[in-house]
Amino acid sequence: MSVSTAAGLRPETASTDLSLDAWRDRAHAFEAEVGRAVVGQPGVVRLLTVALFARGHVLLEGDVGVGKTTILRAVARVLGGPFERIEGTVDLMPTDMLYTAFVDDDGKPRVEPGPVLHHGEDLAVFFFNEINRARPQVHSLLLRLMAERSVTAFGKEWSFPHLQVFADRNRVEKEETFELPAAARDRFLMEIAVEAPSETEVRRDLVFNPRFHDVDRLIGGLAEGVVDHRRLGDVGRAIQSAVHASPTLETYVLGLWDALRAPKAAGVDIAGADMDRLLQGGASPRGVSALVRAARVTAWLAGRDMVLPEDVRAVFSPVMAHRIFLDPIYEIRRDRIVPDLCRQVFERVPAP
Amino acid sequence: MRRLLLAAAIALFAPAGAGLAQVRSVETYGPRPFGVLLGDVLKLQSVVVVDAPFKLDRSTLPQPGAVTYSLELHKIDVTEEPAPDNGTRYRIETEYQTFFSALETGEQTVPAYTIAVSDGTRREEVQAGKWTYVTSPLRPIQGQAGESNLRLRPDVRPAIPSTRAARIQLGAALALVALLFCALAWQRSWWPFHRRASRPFGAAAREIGRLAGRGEEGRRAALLRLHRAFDVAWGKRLLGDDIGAFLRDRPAFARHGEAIRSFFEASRAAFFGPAGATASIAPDALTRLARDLASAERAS
Repeated sequence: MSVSTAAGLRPETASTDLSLDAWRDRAHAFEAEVGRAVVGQPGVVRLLTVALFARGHVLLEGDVGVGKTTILRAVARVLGGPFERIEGTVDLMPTDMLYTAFVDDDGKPRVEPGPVLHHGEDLAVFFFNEINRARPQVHSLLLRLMAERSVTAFGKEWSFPHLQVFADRNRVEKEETFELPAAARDRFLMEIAVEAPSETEVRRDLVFNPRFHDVDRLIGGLAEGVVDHRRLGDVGRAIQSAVHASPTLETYVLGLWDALRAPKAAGVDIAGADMDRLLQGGASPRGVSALVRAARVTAWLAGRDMVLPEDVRAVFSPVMAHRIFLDPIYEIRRDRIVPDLCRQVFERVPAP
Repeated sequence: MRRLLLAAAIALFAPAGAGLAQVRSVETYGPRPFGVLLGDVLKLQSVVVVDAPFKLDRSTLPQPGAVTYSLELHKIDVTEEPAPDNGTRYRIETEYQTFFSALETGEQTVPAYTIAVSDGTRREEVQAGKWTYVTSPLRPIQGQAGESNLRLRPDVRPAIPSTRAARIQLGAALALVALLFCALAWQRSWWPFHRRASRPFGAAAREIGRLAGRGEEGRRAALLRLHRAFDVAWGKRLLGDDIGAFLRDRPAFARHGEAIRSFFEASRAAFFGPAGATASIAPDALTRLARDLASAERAS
């Protein structure tokens, strides 16, 4: 089933004005190209593709050395456009993101645009590595950058219409780290868990194939700019208006939302947890709208013009899990409780 | 078998002269003349042979009734037959019953009766039917050793055969029938097992049969009902993408895989497609699918 031509996007051959069908082909080509460097992670690549076309920021979480940075670098490379990255450290200050201070050849102090401003307003990808090592002040600035795609520096407002923020954090270390505030987490469209590939052949290839040993060369071998990052906003809007969400699906999503906010009433029961006090908050309207946005893109990528419960389910955990805030006594068991909660919500809410 | 006893020999020949030969002989025969007890019936036969032209005067025969205070004549019959020399032989059968309660063994006598023979002008009388017998008491007066063993004992209680075993078998059979009926109801998902979790398609098939023919609204309701049956059958919500996993988990439904996929396609179009879309599955096909699934469910 193919989608209809959306407003502003016509079946042309020019790369700047393509139909949604052609854009879907581009999206699949994008996935295939990223998949050349990122093996054994098709689910992660699909979610990142969904996030790109849903115009949402992404936080990757996983163990050390599973390829989070490689994935994001590969995505940035294949996406094309100006790319900037910064390492989160405990002494990083917000100004370090905006300004670079140094002494020039004449011995005079100089202040130049920092990582965020370096490429001007055309910045396409901003990659924040080890985000939980940065201080809350930095998180605040990042929050504004993500929410409004703008910052104030050098006495003026900088706007980044094409900006996509990727961040990662490892979940091993807890010392000298700062947990992201709820508001900052809520700004991420998705929080994607990255696990080491489980297939034996893929693991063998990753370890023994020299191609994967030199990451710079691996990333450098990927085609650049498979999709035009400046058109993603238009395509994303076209997808949202072209893919149909029926009243039944609306009811279904609202049912999921209700079950997530009041799991006890929905019949959810998690072993060892007091369902009355399990949740502190979360599942915000922004989160649910992000869920529908991501579900529409998923349906579009699957070649459908209607959203199915399967599309919602495919993106539910990445989109909603990090927006669920547990009572502090349950937070330490979050890794077990939240997946169980999401699973049971889907088992309780009827579809259609 | 009668034992012949000569009770009275030659009868009386009282007047001598011409009348001596009219009655040739009178003989009485009876049973054994001893061991007669109270209430015994005595059958005697007197044979009287007379010369011609004399005939027995039957009016002289005794009438049935009490003979003595302890002897009763029940009946008397006479048969007549020829005798040698133109004579006539009369056999007089008498039947007595004795009510003599003997206190000790003693002799008793059946008294003779007088009959007359006549040729119209002459008449002769003879005595006949006398018989002597020994009668005994029913029991000795004095008690004897071991007497108590001979006393009448209480009647033997009738043996009533026990029906307990039969009743138990009947009860067991009824219980077995009830159990088998319950098993059948369980197997067919009849009431009260119609809502049991392991037979969701059985219950759904009945409702879908009613709903499917009621226009578009009924068809949507039937689709929803089958969705809920799938949910129960799988233990969680079944979405279209899960059909493969469902069929692997429940291989009994595998042969209906194509129909199940068609159903989910139709359901997607009806519920998630553009407004106004209708279910592309015919009511008959939907009902048939529900019945097939119910049948596969029973077989599993």
